[in-house]
Amino acid sequence: MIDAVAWSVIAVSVLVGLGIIGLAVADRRPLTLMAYGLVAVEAAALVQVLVAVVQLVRGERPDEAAVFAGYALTSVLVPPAGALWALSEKSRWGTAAAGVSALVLAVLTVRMQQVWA
Amino acid sequence: MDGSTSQQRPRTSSGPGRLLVLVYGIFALSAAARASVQIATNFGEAPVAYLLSALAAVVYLLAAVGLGRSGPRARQLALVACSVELIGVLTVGTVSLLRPDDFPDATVWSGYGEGYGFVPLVLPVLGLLWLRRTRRQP
Repeated sequence: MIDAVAWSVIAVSVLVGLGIIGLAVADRRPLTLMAYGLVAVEAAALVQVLVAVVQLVRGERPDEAAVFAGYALTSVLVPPAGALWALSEKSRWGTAAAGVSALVLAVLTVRMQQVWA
Repeated sequence: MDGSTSQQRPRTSSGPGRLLVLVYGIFALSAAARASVQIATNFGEAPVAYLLSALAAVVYLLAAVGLGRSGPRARQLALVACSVELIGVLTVGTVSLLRPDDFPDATVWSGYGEGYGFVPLVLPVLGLLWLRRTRRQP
């Protein structure tokens, strides 16, 4: 993994996640704004996996390949699935859940860095 | 049938329950992934720990399903899952502190879930409280 990419992904995830949780605390629900944020999180996850695939093709290998693959797959599936589940609830709790599903990407990225090297 | 029961009983999947089900789902997924990799690659190293991880994954999944669906049977499932989870995290947490040699590799529940920010300890308590709160229409 490339550190700069990983840290950018973590930054996007934390920024969007905490931002949305802030909206939940304020009991606001600007759907378009949240959608932009959540799409940015998913885009970041996809870019990160794409970069990892390129590295794999070029012959680099993570220390724990199976675990890394599991995290990589989870990192692109959980944020959107969680966000959809969260936003079908129209209270502030649904908004908070959407924030958490964005934060998951940061946790997964830290773990991916740990098992890569 | 579903309509009448959900009118009498508030849905466990709405309100704070939405967040709870999400966190349970995430834990189910991560515990399952961790357990399957551990069991597939080096089961002999710490079979007890890995089987406990697998058990935890199943319990989290059942809790997520129980809380996420409505109806008395789902509620019962969630109640059993959260109770087993609480007993599990307390037992494994205590044993892992008293006899660390028995746990050469960490499980989700080791040290009361310290490797996961103690979320495994807090989650069943919140789940049980939430089941109690939604028991009757306020």
